[in-house]
Amino acid sequence: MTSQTFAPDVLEHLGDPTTHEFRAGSRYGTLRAVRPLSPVPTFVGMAVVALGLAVIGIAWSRTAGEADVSRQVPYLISGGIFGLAMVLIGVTVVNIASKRRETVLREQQTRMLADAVDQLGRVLGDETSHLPR
Amino acid sequence: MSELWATFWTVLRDPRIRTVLILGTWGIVGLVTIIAAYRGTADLALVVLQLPYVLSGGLGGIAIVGISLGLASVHFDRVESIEERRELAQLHKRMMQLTKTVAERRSP
Repeated sequence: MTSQTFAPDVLEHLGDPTTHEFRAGSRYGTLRAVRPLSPVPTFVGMAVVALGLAVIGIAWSRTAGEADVSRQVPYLISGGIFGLAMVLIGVTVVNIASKRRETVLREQQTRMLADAVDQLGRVLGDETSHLPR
Repeated sequence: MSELWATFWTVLRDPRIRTVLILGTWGIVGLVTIIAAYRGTADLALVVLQLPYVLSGGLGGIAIVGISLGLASVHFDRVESIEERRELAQLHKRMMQLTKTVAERRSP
């Protein structure tokens, strides 16, 4: 086994892993609202759900005030079914926003782990550690 | 008996279990609303009187069940993800400690 010497910057870099910073979503440019870690899609989804419930409530109140079925059916479709669709869309948006966020956080950690493996490879003198992944 | 209550209270204080209980309760409320709408419409002979029940109880109940199921899905995904990230963080920390130890032993 050959002896290895390491530059001070290598030892310095092997600091506290919890202080690693990673900027996610940089490929989204100035569209901060659609970045995976942005809370905007979650709030938008919740707002759509609230709006859908409100629409169903309005449709119910209007339907209860009508005495003719032919006048109630348009409320049923526009308010009831459309409101239900809005609720389901809002829940799906919240779900997708949550999944995107978790994916980015998992990717961050995986990259940090890959960096740590590369560093260990460099320390151990592994020639393949500098190859692109 | 008091030990049972203490255990029950400790379990209830866990935010993960509390969230599941709340979302499950909302799901049951949605189902009960649908059943109430069915009972309401079954007693009526006129469609004009049945439609408000369909809207409020039927569609409203489906909306509540859908919301509770969607949020439950988000909750379970997040719980699993948190556990996975915790394990990855521990693994990463151990790797860095190992690398540092090896580097220090090999440095002059």
